[in-house]
Amino acid sequence: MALGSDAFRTALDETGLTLTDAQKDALFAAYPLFQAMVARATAPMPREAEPSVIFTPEAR
Amino acid sequence: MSEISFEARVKAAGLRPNVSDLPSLEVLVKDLDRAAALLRGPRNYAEEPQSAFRLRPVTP
Amino acid sequence: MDPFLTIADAGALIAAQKLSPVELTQHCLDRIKAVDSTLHSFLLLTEDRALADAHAAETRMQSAALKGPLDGIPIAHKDIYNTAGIRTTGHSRLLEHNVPTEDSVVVQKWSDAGTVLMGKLTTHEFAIGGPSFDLPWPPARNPWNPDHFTAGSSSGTGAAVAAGLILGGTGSDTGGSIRGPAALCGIAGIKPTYGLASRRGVLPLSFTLDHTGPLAWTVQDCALLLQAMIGYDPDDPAIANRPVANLTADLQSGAKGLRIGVIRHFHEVDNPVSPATKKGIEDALDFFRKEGAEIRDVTLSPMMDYNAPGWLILTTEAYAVHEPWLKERFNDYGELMRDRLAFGALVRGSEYVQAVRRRRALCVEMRDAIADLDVLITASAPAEAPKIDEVPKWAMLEKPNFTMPFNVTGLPALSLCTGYGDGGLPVSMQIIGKPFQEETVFRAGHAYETAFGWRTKRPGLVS
Repeated sequence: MALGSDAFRTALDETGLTLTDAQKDALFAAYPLFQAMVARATAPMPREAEPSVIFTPEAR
Repeated sequence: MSEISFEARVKAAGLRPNVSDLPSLEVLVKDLDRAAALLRGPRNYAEEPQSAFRLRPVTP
Repeated sequence: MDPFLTIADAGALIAAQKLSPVELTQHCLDRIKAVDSTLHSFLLLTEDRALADAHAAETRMQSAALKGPLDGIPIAHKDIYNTAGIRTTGHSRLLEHNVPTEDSVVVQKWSDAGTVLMGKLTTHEFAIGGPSFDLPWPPARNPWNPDHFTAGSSSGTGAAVAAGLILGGTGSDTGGSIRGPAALCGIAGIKPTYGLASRRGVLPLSFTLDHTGPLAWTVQDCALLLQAMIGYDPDDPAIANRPVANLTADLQSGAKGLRIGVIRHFHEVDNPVSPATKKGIEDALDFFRKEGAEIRDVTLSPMMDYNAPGWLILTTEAYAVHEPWLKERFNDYGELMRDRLAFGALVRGSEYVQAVRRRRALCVEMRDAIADLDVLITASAPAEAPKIDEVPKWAMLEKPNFTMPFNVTGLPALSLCTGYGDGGLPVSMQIIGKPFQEETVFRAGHAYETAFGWRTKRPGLVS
């Protein structure tokens, strides 16, 4: 779900990164591109769809 | 960085819990925040995750 | 001495004791000193080490005790490959004075093969942040026109090989960082199958997308370099436990009988390429057809469907690697890197898992598409190199790139020169193979390359 300007800045603050207001503005300007990428990458999958990284317990 | 209100965090996450659930949700999130902080390190940047992406060779 | 030797040619001359490794190394050193103040391909020139390596190779040559086809060959390493006792910076302020105590696995393997270490090469910051002008060192420039971009992140390797400063070099490829510079600098570069070559001792960007691989002037040289990189490394969790293949076994087999799939919509619809790029691909297909290859078009999901999960995975994994530093030293990173990674901080766990699930579906799609073929062909880059100060900051989000689909699916993918376009800048194509079938990729690339005359031309800056 796309975030509005205030929510985006709150989300950035929550990450613990220390950004200036100008840096947050610059990121917010690119946010629509990022959000479009996220939406495309996370389109719904069937419930049973497995991921590509596999946990394999093995001794090395 | 000023303290972010819990309500602002919930809004930034796109969640819409019942108002009556907010106090217990806040307690749960505090526990999760503590757990996440423990996960964050210190850790060598080269440390690999357990799950690996692997390809199987295709029989010619 | 031929001013521009390939690894194959130089190796043969050294083996026949007709070429002095010391003379070859000095020749490269002289050329570096003449032009690298323009190209900025080297972050660190290790002249004393290079001459010591060259003298050692010369002694072995005179004793008929050469180690193999790379003995005495001048090479250099992208400055994310740990080199023991030699500064390894990631082209970043954060590691400006970092000196590793151990070689990375690939550095050790090339050293064991007798190569001559010329130095450490320019890269985008930590293999993602570039081209950047706010770092301790400037970005590399394209030898075909120094006002133009090399692509990245193996930018220094691309420039140094194209200009003949080295005969080969290491790169890494997480979303195209070997094939991009190979494409824009008019050379050959291969991202091998994920898990073929060890990544240990290389500064990580994205664990499940990072590949190590070589760049060189020719396809054959790439095969020789990659041969010396591969092998089981039990301490790399992603490594495939397989016998070491002979990557040059099929090099001379020609194109007859090859089954080629063209992902035409990638370079004609999803991100239409420049006229010269398209002509290069079509001329290559005509050549393969005449040689007796079978060619048909292949349809996959739109290229952005591959790029989106790739970039989400990359951004998230890279953010996880850099999180402590980003929190403490955000402004010590270059602007491009810190901004690109800041978005990684906003990716939710569930979104990462979704992207990883989508990745499996794409791997299956690609596997099915190539099942009854030998190789796929598409573009490596959309066009000739842009000007270095006109590279969009968010290019990777605005348009899909041709290289990321094969990081997402892990297939081996080779970029090679297919001619020259606007302003005499190189254009290229990409040949993709089945997992662990690099021999077939090299076979197709070598057949094409030896039939066309692009390898006789070097940048005007050095020729």
